[in-house]
Amino acid sequence: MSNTLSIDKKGKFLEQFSSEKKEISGISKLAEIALEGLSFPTTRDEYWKYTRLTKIQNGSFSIQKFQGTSQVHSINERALHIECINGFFQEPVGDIQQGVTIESLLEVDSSISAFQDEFFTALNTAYFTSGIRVIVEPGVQVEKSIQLNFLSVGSDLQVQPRIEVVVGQGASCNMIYNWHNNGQSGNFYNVNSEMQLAKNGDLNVHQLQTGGDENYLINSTYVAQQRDSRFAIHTICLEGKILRNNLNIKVEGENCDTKLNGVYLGQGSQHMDNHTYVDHIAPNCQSSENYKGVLNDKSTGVFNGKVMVQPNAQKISATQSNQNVLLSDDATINSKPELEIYADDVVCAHGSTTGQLDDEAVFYLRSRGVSEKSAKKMLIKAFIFDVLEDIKLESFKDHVEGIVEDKFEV
Amino acid sequence: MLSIKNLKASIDGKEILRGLNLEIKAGEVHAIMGPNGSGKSTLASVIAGREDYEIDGGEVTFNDKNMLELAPEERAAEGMFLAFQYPVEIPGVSNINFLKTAINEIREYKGLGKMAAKEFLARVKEKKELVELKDNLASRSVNAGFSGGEKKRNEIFQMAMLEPKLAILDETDSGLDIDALRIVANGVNRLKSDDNATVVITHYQRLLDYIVPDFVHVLYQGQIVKSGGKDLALELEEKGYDWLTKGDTVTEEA
Repeated sequence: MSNTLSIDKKGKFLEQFSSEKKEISGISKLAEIALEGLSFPTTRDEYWKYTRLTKIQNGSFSIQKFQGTSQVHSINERALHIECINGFFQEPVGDIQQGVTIESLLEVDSSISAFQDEFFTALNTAYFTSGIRVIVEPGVQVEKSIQLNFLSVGSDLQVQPRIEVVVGQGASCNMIYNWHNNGQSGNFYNVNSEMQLAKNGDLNVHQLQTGGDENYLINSTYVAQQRDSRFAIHTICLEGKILRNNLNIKVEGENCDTKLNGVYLGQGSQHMDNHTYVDHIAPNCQSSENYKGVLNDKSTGVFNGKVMVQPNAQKISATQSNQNVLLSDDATINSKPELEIYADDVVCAHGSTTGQLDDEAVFYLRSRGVSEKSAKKMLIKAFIFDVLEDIKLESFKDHVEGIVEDKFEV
Repeated sequence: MLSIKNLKASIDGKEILRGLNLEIKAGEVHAIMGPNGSGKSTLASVIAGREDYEIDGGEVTFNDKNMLELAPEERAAEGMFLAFQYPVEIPGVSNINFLKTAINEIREYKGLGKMAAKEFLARVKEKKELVELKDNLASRSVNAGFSGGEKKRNEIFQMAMLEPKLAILDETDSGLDIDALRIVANGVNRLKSDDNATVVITHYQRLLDYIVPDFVHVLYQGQIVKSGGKDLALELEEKGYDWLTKGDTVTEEA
């Protein structure tokens, strides 16, 4: 009975996506078939234990192609901007450097994702609204950051951009994902990114998730690293009714460096969930992960970070840290760092802490004439300082620091 | 300047201050001495506005304003300063930035505009020399990784920056070697004027060789049981506290 009910619900949910897309072929077709066998994730699934998706499941989302001129919202003046409005990528604004190709992704002909197993990845792979592919030729150092600006005009939209990034051998690139809040509501962003780094490639991804508190974001990123490559991602979660990042990194070659940094600042009834998975397949690599959360009001945070060290992956150095500060009695954090190690010559460490702002420090600052509000703000900034300090792209860092400054009116 | 009348305070239901009286005028230096657990640090905390304490009675007025109604930051803005016995380490908050915020918020309280950056930096430079604070300590995170002596010097540096009317030094001498003690005392002495007052809370007479008090008070079981001139400190050093604290007659004397 309940099974039939959930199948019906899923069918109804999927219908609004499938009816919008006419022809499906290649990998997308496989994903559509996979969707038939996959059930809509619920809190009974370990992977979704702390994130209830009922609101998304019961939502109704339509596609609305945006007509009109795009406007560039800049974080970084020195960036190549690509607007993605209602899930449709526009032409890049500005000159594209030689050796860089940015093209429309009309059909998915290969995938490094888990589209066979993950519901939302399959959903995007089957029914993405539009896609782009960024290719950086071997040896090319991309001077300007490539900045994707996501915004929606209208409400209750299905927004499913798909992004592929290929960084050639010895090439380097900075990317920015920037979500804008236009005051819309009920929009469902289901973003899928696949990033491949060839030998000695270098990719830094910066995500600023400020897409409004009335919208949903499920953001899945799949990364594959070949030997000697360096990948870093900085995820700044600031707005979202339900915000979920699925970050999956396969370190396939030796001597790679992987960095995952994140900050989530929750307030109101925001729900911010970061799931990360680093799969060390090859030896002699290092990965480091540092996520910090500050949760106020009735907001909820989820951190689930897994580091897998496969049997052949000797001499791995992996660190993982998740620290949280709860500012209110009603705020919640579910933190689960995980290590799974099958090699015997590795250095791995992980830790999770949750606490409150230090009352002594608050009193100390106040006794010097600093208001309680300013004192708490200072301590919050100090708490997340090291994560922000690790962002090498100065313009992005400065922008984020400014936003964080405004965010906490504790 | 500061007037404390019949002040009673407790923590977790335990009475600490039991009717304390103290009058301090501008230009004076007062020393408060007393054995462990007599309520010295509680007195400092209550005056500064630490919220852990319950005020059970009495009053604290500072320049005719009721301090007990004000938040700690408002008390600071009115011109009070507490040098902590155990200065707190705050990694990630820079000394300079926090002092800039403090000074500007105090100015805002007084209806003044922000201090010009140039003026602020000039003050930093001047006051740093006063307490012989190493260059990098001023810009580092508040007390993080500082030695005991550096922390206490940083307290006096902050005091110098904020130019309070009343400074309460809570066991500022504890844990200091003689050189650090001399530097700290020197800083305090140079900040002394006819307009401000200093309260030195200490266990030992040693500090009072450097910061010479006009009045010495003995605190015992939450009350001032004896007051006198600077010679009282020497007497205490010689005889200890026993002669003052024996028998109820003494405690009731105050």
